[in-house]
Amino acid sequence: MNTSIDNQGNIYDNDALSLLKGVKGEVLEYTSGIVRIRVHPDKLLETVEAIVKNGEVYLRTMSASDERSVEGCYKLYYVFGIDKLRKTIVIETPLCSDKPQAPTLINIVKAIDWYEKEAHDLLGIEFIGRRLYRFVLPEDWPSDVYPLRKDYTIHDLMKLYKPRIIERAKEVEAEAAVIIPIGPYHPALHEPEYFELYVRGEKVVDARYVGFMVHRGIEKLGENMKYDQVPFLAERICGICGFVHSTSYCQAVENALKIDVPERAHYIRSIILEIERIHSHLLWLGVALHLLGYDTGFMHIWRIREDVMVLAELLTGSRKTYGLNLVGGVRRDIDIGKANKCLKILEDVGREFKQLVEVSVSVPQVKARLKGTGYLSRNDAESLSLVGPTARGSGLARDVRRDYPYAAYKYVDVKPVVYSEGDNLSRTMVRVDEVFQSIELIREFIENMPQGDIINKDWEVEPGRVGIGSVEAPRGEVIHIVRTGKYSPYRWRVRTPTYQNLPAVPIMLRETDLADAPLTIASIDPCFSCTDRVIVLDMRTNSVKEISIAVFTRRGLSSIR
Amino acid sequence: MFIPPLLDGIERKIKADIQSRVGPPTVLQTWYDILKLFSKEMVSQSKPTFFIFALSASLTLLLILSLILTYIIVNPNNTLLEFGTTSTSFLLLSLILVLIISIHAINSLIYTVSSNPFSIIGVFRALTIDLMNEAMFVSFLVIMFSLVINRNSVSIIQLFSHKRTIPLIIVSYIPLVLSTYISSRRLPYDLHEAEPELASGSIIELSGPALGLYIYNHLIERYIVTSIPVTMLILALMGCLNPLLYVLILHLGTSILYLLFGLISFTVGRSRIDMAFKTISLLYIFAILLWIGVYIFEYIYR
Repeated sequence: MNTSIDNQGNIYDNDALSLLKGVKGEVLEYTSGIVRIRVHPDKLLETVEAIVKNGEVYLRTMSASDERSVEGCYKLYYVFGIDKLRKTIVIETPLCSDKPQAPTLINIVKAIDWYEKEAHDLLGIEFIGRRLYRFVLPEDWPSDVYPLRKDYTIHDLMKLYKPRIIERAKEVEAEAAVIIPIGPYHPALHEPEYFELYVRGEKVVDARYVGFMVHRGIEKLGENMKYDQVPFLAERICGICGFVHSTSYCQAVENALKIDVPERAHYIRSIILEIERIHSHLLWLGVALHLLGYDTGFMHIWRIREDVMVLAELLTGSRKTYGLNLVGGVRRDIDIGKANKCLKILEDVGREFKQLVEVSVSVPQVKARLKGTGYLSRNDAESLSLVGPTARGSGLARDVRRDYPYAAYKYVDVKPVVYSEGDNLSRTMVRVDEVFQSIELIREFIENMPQGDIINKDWEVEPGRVGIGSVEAPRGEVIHIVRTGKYSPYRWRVRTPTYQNLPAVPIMLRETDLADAPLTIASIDPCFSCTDRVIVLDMRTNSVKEISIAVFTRRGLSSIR
Repeated sequence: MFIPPLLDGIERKIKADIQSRVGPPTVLQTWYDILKLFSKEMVSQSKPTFFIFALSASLTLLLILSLILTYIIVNPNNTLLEFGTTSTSFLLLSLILVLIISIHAINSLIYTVSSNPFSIIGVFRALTIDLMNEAMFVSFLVIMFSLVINRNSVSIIQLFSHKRTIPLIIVSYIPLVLSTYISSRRLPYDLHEAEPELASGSIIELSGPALGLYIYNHLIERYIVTSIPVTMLILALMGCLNPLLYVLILHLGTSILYLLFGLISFTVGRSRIDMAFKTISLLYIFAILLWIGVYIFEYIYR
């Protein structure tokens, strides 16, 4: 770090200081990799423009928070990252009005689009200078009810929201129907997603994505749970890479409360994170081969993946949703016997995977359909602030493990796997190479794992502190922001990599063959919410059975007509 | 009528074994699937009778085709391969071609009844591949017959019965087997119902008994089409065995070829329509050039 010391003995980070030229705000912190600035809404545009001028700045996340009860204002947290300097810039903008308003940043930062729409939906914040519309919430959600405002508890919201399903059924004369399965079509992965492809012949001319079929309200739910309960909820955000979410949440709390995590716990977290990456990449590669019609490769890759799942069970007690993380460390140790077994399994997995990949990628149809399809330029990847293998497949060497090291990654040398062609083959090869890289990293972690405690329980909550936790998930960066409350997180913001990467899919789909569209959609390894909902409606008895919180699809019944 | 779904069951078990899976519980599973579909209620956007009628007509034509093939091989005075000498051979060959094209036409009609975009895309893909396949195969036949008849004024059977022509017999079968494989709609040419991208494509609107009938129909078609090269091989090598033994050889040979085709399909991925167009052209051009090369070598230089 490039530092200097002033007359009073304060240490300054010169790189961080250089970023602050032209910034109109109060600097709260500018050491330890994070620069925090408080900026008045009137100066927000100017400040962001000055920061973006530094080049290679990307939007990591944005969080809106209702802090009226503690600071009398709503607050926006913009988190920017500068990879080459390994710096995170957090801009805090208080909005102290009953009708909170802020200028839109859409003309400066393209990737801000969804964040602003979401903040408008969930907190009622107006962004001046752009069109806003219902985005995350269902269209029959009552107007003027903003669920993330502190005016409502989760129980209030459940009473306030009554889906208009019977009225809708009558509108479309569906009285004769007995059971109506609700759920959009799954073109690539078996999750709720909806793409409209505008096709001429077999060529995709344009594409539109409609998302947020199932908004589960997890952030709101977390505000009513104790600090050590939230990791178990966070792990259920995703059925494939849940551990990254619990780790990211724990890191955010540990960062906010300055909790010292034992070294051994850092190593254990890193080992499990890499195991999760291996099984996630193997899962994706299997799905990709299935989409290309090469089912033999698909089955064998999943056979290899099964060994990794067994390994996860050996180390954590569960194949998935490990329940290993707590704030301050982990709950379960890895002994020498398990470590040796782990190395043996990984050696076999690596050997078999190498043979299988060589065969699979040389199948003519697989090779021809991966190469040159779903193209995404480096410029697009940069302007949309993309993350993970999607960014690395377009030549953007962005990897949180190297750029913003966490857990035990600060002790190893992680070289991002980068392919610059920007097509589906590049994104595939990034994942293939990362499997081998992860095996090597686990070997390194096991060999260098120090002895000692695995958890630090000696910490106390200090309300009003803000912490950031980010992890390089298999799909890209996962970032959590936590503002601490007395007993629970006051505000917990989760940003998944798919949220960041999905806006790139319509770009990739343009001029692609229809046959390659499912693979292109899958090439970002999208992870939509993993829970479809079904409502059973019996018009003869006029009864509605809701299997879970009945959040209707944005398009309502018209989407299945 | 019983063999095709059984062969499909065997194919599924072999596929499962290759892919390290258990697969269906029994080789009769395809039969159970079809029977179960027949027992389901009929739900259809169009009139259900249309599907049943069209599929039944297609099935009937398939059975006529199988009867003709059986007749050809049990008939001791067979003249199918004696082109240039009898008009019966042209009649039989034309009948086989007309039947195959009629079956494809009826199937296409079933697919296009629906206004579902997936179905429409599927049927256009199927038609593209069928037309390409049939056009290229007919081109090969025209080249072959014109060369053979013009130069030698002999029948194919005489040509093939000559000792020196064994390499020519082999290369003559390449386009036939190729055409059969493509017609059987296996990977990489199963584009019309590519499940991940087209949600079952051309058959998306079929369910219950109509789907059961379609699957049965499709499997019989696949089996009968596969039996054509075996029939031709038996005719070319025909000796003086009991004609009924030929029927046994026909079914045994067809079953082996059917499973061999299955094995090939496990090792490849799914093509794309533009790629399929190119690969089919290239494969046929290669096969035709090879045939011409061998023909020139056998009859001009020797």
